[in-house]
Amino acid sequence: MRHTVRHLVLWVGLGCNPEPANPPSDPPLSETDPAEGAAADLIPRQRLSRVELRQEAIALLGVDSPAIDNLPADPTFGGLRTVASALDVSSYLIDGWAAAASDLARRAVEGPGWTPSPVMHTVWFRHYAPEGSFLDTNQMLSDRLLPELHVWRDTPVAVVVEATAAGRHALGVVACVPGSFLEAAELRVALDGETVLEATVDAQCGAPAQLAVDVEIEAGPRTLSVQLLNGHDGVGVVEEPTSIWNPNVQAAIVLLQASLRGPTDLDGGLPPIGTALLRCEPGAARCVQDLITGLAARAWRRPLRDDEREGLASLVGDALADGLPAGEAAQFGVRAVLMSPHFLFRLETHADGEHAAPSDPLYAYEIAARLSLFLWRSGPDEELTGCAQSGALLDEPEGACGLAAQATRLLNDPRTDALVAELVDTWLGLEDLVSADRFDKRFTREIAALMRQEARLLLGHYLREPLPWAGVLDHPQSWVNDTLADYYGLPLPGSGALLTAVALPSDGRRGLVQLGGTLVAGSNEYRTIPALRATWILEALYCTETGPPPADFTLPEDLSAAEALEAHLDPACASCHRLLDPLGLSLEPWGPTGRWREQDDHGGPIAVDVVLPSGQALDSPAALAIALREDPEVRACLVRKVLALATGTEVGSADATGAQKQAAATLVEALPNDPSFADITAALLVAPMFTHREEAP
Amino acid sequence: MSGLARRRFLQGGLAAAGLGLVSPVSSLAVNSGVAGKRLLVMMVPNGHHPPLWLPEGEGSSYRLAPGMAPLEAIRDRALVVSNLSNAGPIGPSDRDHPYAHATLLPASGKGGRAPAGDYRGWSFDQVAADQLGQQSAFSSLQVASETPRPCHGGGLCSLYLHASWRGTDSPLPPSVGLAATHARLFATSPTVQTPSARAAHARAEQALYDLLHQHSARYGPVLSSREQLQLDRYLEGVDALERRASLRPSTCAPPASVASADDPTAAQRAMADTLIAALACDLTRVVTWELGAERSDRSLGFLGHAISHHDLSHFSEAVPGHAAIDAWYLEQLVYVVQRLDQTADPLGGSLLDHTVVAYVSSVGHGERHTPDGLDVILAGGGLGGLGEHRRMEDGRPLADLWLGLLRQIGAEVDRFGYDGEDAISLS
Repeated sequence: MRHTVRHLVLWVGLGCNPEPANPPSDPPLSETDPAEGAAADLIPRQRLSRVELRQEAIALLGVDSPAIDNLPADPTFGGLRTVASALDVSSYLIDGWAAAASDLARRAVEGPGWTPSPVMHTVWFRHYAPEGSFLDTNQMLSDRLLPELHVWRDTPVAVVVEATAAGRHALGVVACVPGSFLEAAELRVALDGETVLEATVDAQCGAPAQLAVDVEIEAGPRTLSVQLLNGHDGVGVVEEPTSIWNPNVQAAIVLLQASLRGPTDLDGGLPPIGTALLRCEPGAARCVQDLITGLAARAWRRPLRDDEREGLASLVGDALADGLPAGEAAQFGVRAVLMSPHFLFRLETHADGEHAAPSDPLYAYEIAARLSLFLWRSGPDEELTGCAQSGALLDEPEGACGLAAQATRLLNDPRTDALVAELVDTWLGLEDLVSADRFDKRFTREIAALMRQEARLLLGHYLREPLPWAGVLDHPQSWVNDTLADYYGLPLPGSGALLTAVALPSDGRRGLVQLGGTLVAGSNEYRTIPALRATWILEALYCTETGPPPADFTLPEDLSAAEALEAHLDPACASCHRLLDPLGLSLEPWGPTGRWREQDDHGGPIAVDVVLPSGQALDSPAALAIALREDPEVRACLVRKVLALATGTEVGSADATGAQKQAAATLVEALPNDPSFADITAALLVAPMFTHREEAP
Repeated sequence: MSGLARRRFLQGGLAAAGLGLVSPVSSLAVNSGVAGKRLLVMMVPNGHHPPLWLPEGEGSSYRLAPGMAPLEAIRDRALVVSNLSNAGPIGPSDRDHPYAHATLLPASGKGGRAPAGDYRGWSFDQVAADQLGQQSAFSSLQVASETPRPCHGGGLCSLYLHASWRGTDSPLPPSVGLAATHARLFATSPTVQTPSARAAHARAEQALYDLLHQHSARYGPVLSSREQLQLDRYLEGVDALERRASLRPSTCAPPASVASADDPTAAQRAMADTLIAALACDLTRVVTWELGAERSDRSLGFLGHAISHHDLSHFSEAVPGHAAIDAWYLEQLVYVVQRLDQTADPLGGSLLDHTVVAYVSSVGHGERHTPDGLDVILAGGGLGGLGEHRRMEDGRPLADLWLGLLRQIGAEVDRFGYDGEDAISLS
């Protein structure tokens, strides 16, 4: 590849905006006058987002609804959908919310003609992921990532999966033998200690064996265990993916995946509320009422006040007394719970009727809700709620119920997959990747789905592992299967359909910015858009906002990259393009479909070389990833993204107060050098911006 | 307010008043002069290449340029008003898609300069909804055929997303695509067989809304102004639901046509059929339909050229794609006008007799993002000057046309937008 050396100064950090927005003489546009008193300056609380409604519906009711997809898209700010000032409420939102609530209620109770959604629980071992098919939502929500698992004769492996409803489930295991030592592994799979499957596996890991069996189970946590019956005793769990070729390992069987999907007998399977309703005696209003008030306490993320309990009980009780069947009365109750402002909003004013002063600390239930909505995008589970209830969450910081231990537990729980998926969709902008059309027809929907999965595996790795968070920018591995590796021109990993971690060549792509998905997202159907790729870097990684082109902007026709660069020297263009061009050009080796190429869209040579303000020359694509990872501004921006996820406050936004900016700066200073996601989370938990509704003066 | 008192209030059609979002002229909501009037706004992206779009000559003998050629089919039922300017509200440094988009219908507002008149920052379709729409299940409807452009920046995203505004802090998001629009308009509640069961359902439904109001009333003194605003909008939405339960016509049915997702023309037509069905059975009287997303990057390759619409719009030389895309979008207007003409209005005559259709793009010269040189194609009953092209004098505010249009459909407004004071008469 021939590189044209261009010395452009990269001077990121000031952002760019050719001219100030509106003339200052114009009167202010805001129609809302700040309210009197202290409340005017509070950090605005969030409403739930579409993603959170879906996660909550699955957690609370065990069902999903396509009506959730009809809600208006939540606006993004800085690539996140958690920024409070962007999450508007409109009549259309309430319309959609009501329709979703009705549909969810019907599904939860299983009115006539409605069937509950089967829920997929999949445990992926060793960062394998499924074929790049279209994943249904439930499946995406519960894909789980764990370290690879080698099973020796003396180390049976057990995982706990939660069955949300009783009924027939499909239990699947994907396994292989890694070497020649053990040619045929005898495998036993058990559910709650009872053997459900015995099989001999002789498949090599390039084409693993897929075993499946139907099981009848009750709702609740189920222990799935896998045991090797032959071979010899092993050496414990092996963490290094490459260690699969270690002779010591070859006496083991490799467990790639275990899944539980169900209920598959939809006629017999009922979601929890529907199941519980069947157990209510006919005419026993109290039983139906208790179901609904119990649901409300979980949904509203706190204990109910007496009047709230009575209000819900009356709604349900009156409907029953009016002659409605229990199922229909219960649906009104479920709708009321889901449509209540207590569910939709996160107005943290304590539940006990005594409104908290803005400067009071949040109480334990509100802290618990913040934590689980941050990491899981859904409300607290039973354990976290119990810790809030007992007081130990805040009063026993060192205990297993303490905030720090609970945060660690939540972070290592597969429910963080919802957060990872959301970040990939919004921060990386890959939400619509599977519907992206490219003239190069090698970019198929399957490739797009694989790219999205690749991005999830990379981000998930950095969320959960004790690795520096900024390392995600120059991670030297990627997760591919044979199809995606072939597409990228990488050596085939021989993993069949499953995505597996492979080392990337040192002169090739690495990290978030050079993921296939982000490169495709920064292109249109037939060409790369270097300015768009660069704008994404500035906005997503430098937390800056770039302005529009100047007023008299005219896109010159069909310029080569070199000609475009010359045009950008015009002072009106240069204010932004001096930032954009070096970044965008450094990604030109990848075309509009994310594939490596030798020539740009105009058949010209690829120009990638840029010079940073420090004078550091970047002479390879990988050097950009490394430079970004080393840039203190980028590291600070990555921390800010975590703060915005956790608190709904984007300290770079115009709405952020001086106190918020100061609080964020204090928090950043207190962090260890090159912190992990867990380090940032731990620092947040004790910071006033997390523990208080309003910063102390 | 008690549940019963609130319901009486809502049934009076004055939903917004008293809830913190008081509409400035809501007492005009039940205005006998606007009975049966309807408004359909159609927005297309990326402006035009003027030499291939603007008519030559004025009055009734104008000649159509290639991009506007399809208008011939409805020429006698359409009025072209050209050379309008929205430069007043849009600052010189803000001449780009997001500002043009969000400022088009309000002729003021977020991203633009301060508005004049009572409806500060409202888009004209919402003023119309406030005065025409209070008796229908949906006081207005916002729909989009194309998913809005993904957006990373903060403030600009809202401008890309929203064409309709009820004040600068109250944007109305569109339902995107046919499925979401169908679900919203024609969702059916479970079939309830007996009258007594129906009555029990209605009572439980009302108890549900009463409960939601009780929950909202718990918050108050400690909420921030923004939290209070959000809660007010929530209640406005809840009241709209409650009102709709009583206003939803029982005879409304979705049109039979189902779009093939792969055929862009069929998809646009299916959306048109859906919206016309909603207008015909009075589900709504005000519709704002974006046929393409602002700054649309669709290639519309079936029209025989490969370059995306937005890229093409920035070609300074005339190319065939300019006219092909303009003509394709305009064909949808022709379809709408013909279908409205064929659809009977329950109040008598055709639906077109009682509907004003306005067809507009957010920028004038697509290449330069100019906020002037805008044109609006109007069609519908009661308009004067049909069959003509009226070229306005340079600098004539777009807001003057919106003001004239509002007056034409019976809305009572003195001024509109940033600079709308001298209404362009359309009678």
